[in-house]
Amino acid sequence: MSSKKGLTNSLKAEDVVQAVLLTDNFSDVLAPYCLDTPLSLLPLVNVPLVDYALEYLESSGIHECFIYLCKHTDAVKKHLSGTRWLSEDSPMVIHVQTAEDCLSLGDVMRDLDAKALIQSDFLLMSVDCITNVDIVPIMKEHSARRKNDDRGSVMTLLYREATPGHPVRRHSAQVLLAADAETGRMVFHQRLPAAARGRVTFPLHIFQEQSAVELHYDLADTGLSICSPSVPQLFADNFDFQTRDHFVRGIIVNEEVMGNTVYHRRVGTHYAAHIDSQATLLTVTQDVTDRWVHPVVPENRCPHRADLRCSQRNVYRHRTAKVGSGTRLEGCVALGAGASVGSNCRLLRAVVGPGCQLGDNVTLEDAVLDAGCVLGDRCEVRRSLLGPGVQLAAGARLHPGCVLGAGVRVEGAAELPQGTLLVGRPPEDEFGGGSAPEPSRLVGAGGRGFTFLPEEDEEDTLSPLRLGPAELPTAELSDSGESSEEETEDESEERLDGAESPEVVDDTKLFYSEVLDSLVRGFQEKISPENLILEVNSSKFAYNVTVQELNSLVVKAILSVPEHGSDERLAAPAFLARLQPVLTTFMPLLTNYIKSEESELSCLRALEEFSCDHSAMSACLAKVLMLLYQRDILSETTILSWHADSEGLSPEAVRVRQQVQKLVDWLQEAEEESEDEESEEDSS
Amino acid sequence: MRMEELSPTAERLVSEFVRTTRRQGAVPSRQVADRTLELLRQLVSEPGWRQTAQLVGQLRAAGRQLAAELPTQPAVGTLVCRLLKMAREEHGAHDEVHEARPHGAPPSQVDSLHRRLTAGRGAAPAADLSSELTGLRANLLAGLDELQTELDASADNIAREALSHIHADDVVLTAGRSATVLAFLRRAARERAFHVLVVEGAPFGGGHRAAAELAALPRRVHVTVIAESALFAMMARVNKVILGVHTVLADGGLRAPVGTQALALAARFHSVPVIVCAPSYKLSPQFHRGDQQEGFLESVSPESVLPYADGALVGRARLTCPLFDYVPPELVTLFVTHTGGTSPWYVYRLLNEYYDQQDHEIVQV
Repeated sequence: MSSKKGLTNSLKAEDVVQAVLLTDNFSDVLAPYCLDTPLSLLPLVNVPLVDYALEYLESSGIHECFIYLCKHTDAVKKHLSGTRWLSEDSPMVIHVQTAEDCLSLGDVMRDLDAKALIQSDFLLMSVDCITNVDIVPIMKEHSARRKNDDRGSVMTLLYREATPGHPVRRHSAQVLLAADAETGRMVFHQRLPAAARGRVTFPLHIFQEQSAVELHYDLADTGLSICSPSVPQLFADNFDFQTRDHFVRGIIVNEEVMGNTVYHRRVGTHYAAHIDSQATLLTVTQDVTDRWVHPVVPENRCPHRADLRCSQRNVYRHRTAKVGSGTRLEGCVALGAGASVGSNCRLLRAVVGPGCQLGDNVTLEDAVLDAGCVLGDRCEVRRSLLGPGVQLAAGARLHPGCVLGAGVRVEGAAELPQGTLLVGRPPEDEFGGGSAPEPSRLVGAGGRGFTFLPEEDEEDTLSPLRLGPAELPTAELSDSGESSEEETEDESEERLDGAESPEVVDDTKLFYSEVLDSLVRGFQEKISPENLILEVNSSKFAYNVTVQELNSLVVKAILSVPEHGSDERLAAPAFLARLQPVLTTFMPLLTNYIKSEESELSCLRALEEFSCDHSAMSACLAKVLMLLYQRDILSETTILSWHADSEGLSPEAVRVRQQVQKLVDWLQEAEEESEDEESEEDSS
Repeated sequence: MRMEELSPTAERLVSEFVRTTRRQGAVPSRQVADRTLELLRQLVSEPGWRQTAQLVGQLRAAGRQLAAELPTQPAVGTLVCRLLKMAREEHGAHDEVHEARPHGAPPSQVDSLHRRLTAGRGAAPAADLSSELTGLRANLLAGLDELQTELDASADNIAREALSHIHADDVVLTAGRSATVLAFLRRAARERAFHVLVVEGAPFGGGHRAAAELAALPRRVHVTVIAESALFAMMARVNKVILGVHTVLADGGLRAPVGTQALALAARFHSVPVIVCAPSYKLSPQFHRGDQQEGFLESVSPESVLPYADGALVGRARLTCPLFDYVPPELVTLFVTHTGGTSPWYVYRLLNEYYDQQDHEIVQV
């Protein structure tokens, strides 16, 4: 250890390039394929993912790496101790951090912050990321930007260009982002569910604030990001940040308040992919055997290159693998150590794990077999994932999209329909008790296998599809494309917004009701306005509403206070009588939020909207405006410009504006007079 | 210490070397050669060996492992063989002095194909290397330094031959970018005006860079860049093809950048001489066996053939991007090495001069 310490000590603290490697994806997207195996030991072309990641980190010149083990820590530790990574002469210093209580990226970051392990910009990488990006120059770029141009830059996200519908992103959550064209600063970031169609809404301000904005829908997430040392701290400050998406959204939304920025960068001609679904796992497997990630190719990942024979058509055969006569290895095939393939088989884009036994006349297409699978004669497996030790009896047929977990045994010439998910042990009953679940009928008599039910959670709309079909049915696509454009415009809008909108709408509604509650309570119990402001601010962070939304919602909430709790509407005079004390009480609140011209405008619009469906309010709008004007909350120029901007108004709005016509006239006169006075003063 | 097994220190050095070389991907072979010499210096300076036999065993094991792990890096195996030959000769010379054995000229100088065939392999008993030799370590290190000097000077030495091959107003064709060939052409351009056709070397486009460098020469050569597909059409007006090479194989064949075989065949059709500039470290005792493509060919990421971002094709069509071609010896007219021109049929003589026959096998994949 001393020699390694010497190495890091000899470098200046800021020159040490650090990386944080997460060995978990904190989700079950790959279940049931790896239900019991830790993600980091998941084999990709017969090599565990963690070996790819560590090899990559070492080769790209990272000096110090923190591996976070969150689940199955013992198995991963055992694997690591058997490799050269932890040995003394490895050029990269590896610190294994066990954190079994971490359930998300946010927890890991908070742990990093608590332990104060990070001194410089660091690479944040998940173990399920396969790449050959030359990362150190990109990290230097990030550091330089942080030092010179933008001190608030906290993160650079790396993306790989991939056209929509590209196999690597087809089944994952899609990335939609807008960025400043010159600097790459992200101003908008949204995740859309896979195969979504319809419309998206961009906030207008992103176009107003930048001279040029790039909109990207041609990017695939790489799972790589370069973080400033302040990132763990930010996670610690915002306990509600769980994932990187939360973080990015939080930073972008609060950019004005906190002054932090996020940048994006494309990795160019290098390869980078993030395994975030079973379909992507298959795609990345094929990309590795297709040599897209060169120099990360199977024979370089093998401890002894001579053990793995690579021939044309990308067939990788381990020295000890046996292949029967008449078997065709058609391309992109990897045979692990000790695997044996019978005669007259046909293998195309298949990975056969170490120790697998394949009978005669077996067909494998787009299949991944983990270690120790046994397939009887005439088995047919298409586009499926088979966990370790799966046994298929002779004649079994797996249709595309099957995933069999460890230890599943299929007896008889069973036929598994598309999208079958089976596990080898009965699923745990959360509520205890109940009868033991029946084995699935599909596995035949004497077989072992239970239907796997993916857990439904609220984020399910965003979670990637299970192992879907290779191609999306094109006919269906074009059909829905036409119809959504013409007939069901509104519907499609709703459908796509479904990814985010319900959440957003719910959030704002929740936020509104919470604010209203605090205000009503504050008014009744005479709570000091400062405390109310604090309360409103904390609700704002909890529900992630924008500043403009906040302003208008606070105004609306204040206006709703007089009638809160009563069903009937008050008449105009009574309403005004009750509104006036409310307004006086909350004047400090308004002064706090309504500061800029923009916020004044949103306040005015909120007043207008509220008056539109409230006759009493519309009657006394002029008086309220007058009060706000007198208290210097609204300036006359804003009122005038609001009134002048009368395009596309609804009839109610026009009526409301007529109510305040007098006030506006008076304001205009006053302004002209003052101008006159000024000009007179000038001339005299 | 057992024979032909690496000591732990050597093992570490070798595997470290393998790792760094692998991950570097495509770097000029000269760089790999320099790093190999550095590795050999470390292996020789290691205090673990005392007898010559031990060193030879270490080096052979290292050479075997390197050749197996890095089959597409020619310089690695050949330089190990050079050092082995040096060690054996040192030892032999020492024995000669002490025992004053009657010997004519060193055997390699008079070794003809006929003699090699009639003598039969292993007829001459292998020299006894088990004695300890003082000063061998220092001598070998000095020998390695000489080898380094030879490498540094080889491009210049090859370029010195340029004037006897390129004449005024010649039309010369070259492919891709090879530092040795560029030095060769630059040298000729100093004295003569000629025309260079540069084949672009798709998909890596090395030819573009080479053309830019040639066009920037102070005394202007006429540079024309052509696509690979225009090769045959243009070949009729070419006087000479000058090529770089990745490895010269034991039979005089080439492992050369992809596209070279088509080029050489076109040249043969039009009876245009093909001249190959080969520094000595590229001369390998390796043979090409048609049945065994592994380790001879290497494919890299098809990104340069088709960008991965193109989702319409990726995953549907198979894309490959091989780096090398095998060119049989009959398509090569002449090798220009730092000692002068050699016909492919006399490559075996050079091999004998550089390497000991016992060591040929360690680079066979």
